[in-house]
Amino acid sequence: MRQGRWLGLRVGLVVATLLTVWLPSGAFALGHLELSMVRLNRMVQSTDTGGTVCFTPDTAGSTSSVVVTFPSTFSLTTGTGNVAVDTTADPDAVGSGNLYWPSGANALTNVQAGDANNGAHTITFAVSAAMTLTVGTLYCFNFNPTDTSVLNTGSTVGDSLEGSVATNLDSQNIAFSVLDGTSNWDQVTVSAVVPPIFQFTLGAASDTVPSSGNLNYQQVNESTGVSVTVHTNAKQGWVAWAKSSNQGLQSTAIGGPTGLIGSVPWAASGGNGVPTLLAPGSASNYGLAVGVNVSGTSTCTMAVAPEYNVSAHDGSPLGTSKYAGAATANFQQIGGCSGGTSNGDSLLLKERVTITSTTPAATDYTDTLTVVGAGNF
Amino acid sequence: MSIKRVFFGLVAVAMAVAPAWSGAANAAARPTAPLKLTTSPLPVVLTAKPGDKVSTDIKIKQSGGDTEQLQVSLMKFSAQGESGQPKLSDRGPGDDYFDWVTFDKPTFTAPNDVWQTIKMSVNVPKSAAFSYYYAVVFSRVGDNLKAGSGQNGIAGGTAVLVMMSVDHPGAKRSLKLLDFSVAHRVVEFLPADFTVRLQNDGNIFVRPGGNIFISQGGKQVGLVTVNSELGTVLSNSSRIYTSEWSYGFPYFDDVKMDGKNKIDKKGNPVRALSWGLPEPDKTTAIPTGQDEFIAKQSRNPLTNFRFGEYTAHLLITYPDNFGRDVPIESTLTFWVIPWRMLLVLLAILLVIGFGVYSSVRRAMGWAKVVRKYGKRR
Repeated sequence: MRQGRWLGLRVGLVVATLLTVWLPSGAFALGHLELSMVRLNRMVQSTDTGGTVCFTPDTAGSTSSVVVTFPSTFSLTTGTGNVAVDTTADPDAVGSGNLYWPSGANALTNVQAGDANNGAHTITFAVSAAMTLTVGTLYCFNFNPTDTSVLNTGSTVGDSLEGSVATNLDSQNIAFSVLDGTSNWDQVTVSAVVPPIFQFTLGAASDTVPSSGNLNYQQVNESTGVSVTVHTNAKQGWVAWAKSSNQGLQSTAIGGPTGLIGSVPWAASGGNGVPTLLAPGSASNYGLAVGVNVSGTSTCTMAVAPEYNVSAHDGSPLGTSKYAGAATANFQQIGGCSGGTSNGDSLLLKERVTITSTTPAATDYTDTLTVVGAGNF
Repeated sequence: MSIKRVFFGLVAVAMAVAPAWSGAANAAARPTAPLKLTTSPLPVVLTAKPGDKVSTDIKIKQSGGDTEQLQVSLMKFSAQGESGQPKLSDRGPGDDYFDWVTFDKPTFTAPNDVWQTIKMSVNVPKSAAFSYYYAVVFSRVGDNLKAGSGQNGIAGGTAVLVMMSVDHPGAKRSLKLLDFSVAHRVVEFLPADFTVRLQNDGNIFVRPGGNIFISQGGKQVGLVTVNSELGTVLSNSSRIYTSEWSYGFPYFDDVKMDGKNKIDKKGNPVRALSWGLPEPDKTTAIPTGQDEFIAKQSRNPLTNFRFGEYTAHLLITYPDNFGRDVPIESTLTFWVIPWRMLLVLLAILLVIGFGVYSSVRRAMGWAKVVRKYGKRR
């Protein structure tokens, strides 16, 4: 009888031990989340912050809430719905930014605004319709307090301030870091200087008039043209000038005035220069015509100097106009762009020539044009 | 002396001279590649005292593809018109201040895409006073040579503007407001285009800055920046600054074509009515207050509907000889009257009024009939 009592006690102890070891822990406590993290928007001490919560459940089932417990050194303002949530993975749509989620994350779509509790140091986010979670899937949501001091990192600095993330099924402890505020370690001030620059490109070192063959006395002969392109970040804009070394096409072989196809004269009208109508066959003349070649993505406004703006003068495109402006010994403004930056605006400079049937023949008629560009002051 | 000796002597001389001559020929070859020069900064401002030696670094890079020989030359500039455009000129008689300037590398080898720094030094004599305007021109060695037969040579260069003030007794920094006006006293919708015309009646160049404060009924409703591009008024010249107030609903916006402002035949920007609000200019490099003000304004179109009389108060400043701000103020009024909208509204009211009137008349007519019929019965 006594022995039987002892036996019963022994069997009871063994069964109790086995039950303790073999029964699943879930029967008594929450399981462990596979992964959990809370990324704060600011980590520096005594700073209001929001953040992002991500977790991967380890237990199948549904949850009606997500509870984030913050370190006891954090301060919260108790309230209902005082922590807004959103589930935008990449708000600025550039694949980065403070709300950018880890790769493969899914939005915890049913999450509701959170209730902060300063006593428990928690924010409880309800999950409507008891959302069913898939084991092994990473869920995320962002939270942002609706007012100041709802969630503050507190004055204590440390690397392993304990907190946790819990659903109805799983939980996991996590560590928070709070940084020294004197050095603002969670932010880096980036400073740089962009100097004002002016880039000037002359499309060719020479130009032939006409572009092929010989000068024809029955038409206005025109060169291929040279582009003058400018890139500048100066907001004042830019200007370009041109001057001619011969003020015409000079033949060295013939020499002197006889060997010069002279420039059209500077013609003034209303205080501005105007281009001259060329007369093929009846006058030997040389001149310059300027048009706007390319408009880049600039903020400045292009303009051709009136003396060379042949298109505006007769309404014809640069290629068909019969006008030209004077090729002068001194720099004359040919055009520019004003009131903004320039990102590849350009002028097209063409030489135009007319001759008569008595213009002396030679193969060495030439001129040198000098084109200079500068930013406005 | 034997013929043999003379012959060998000539051969020796020829051999000695040939390499040098050949080298000279190579150095004198005309470049054929396009010219691409980038300079920084622009413009350069120097301040000196009589007897000082001042200097500045000018950076230049050529990106034509090959290594090039570049050269530095000096010109002067003045104001062309009133829009901040420079006018280049060669050294004239009496321009002794050209002799004060030296460059550490008047000619230099410029490898492709490599920034080079050229030091410009100015030995300011004790007799120097007030303002000097230099244009430092970078060009390619050999570009001024004659091009091949039948070709025009195209030479190019880029000018860096250098403004130097010399503080001398009698130096005067002074601006006078010649005009503060609005393009139209009455506009249907914004923008209102303002013009500020300043004359530098001193002998030192000045860079003014400021705002136009727009108010209605004593409440500030708009802010416009004057000289956001930081332009300079040269001594003994005048300059026009234009700015617009466009923050209203609706407003006339510049029509874009290929990313550029569309310009009519007279050179004016083409505008079309936009049923929205202007966005702050996020490309502004330097905070001017204007876009910050806009950023704080309501985005509600109704609260930004402009109607009635507005007051524009101009307040700009410039530094005097001691760096103190000298204010310039002026005030004007203008009206925004959306007259077409008002006419449509009036027409609608008239139609409604006529409808009501007709209904009342008809009702009164029926009442008469009913009374008459009732009496007969």
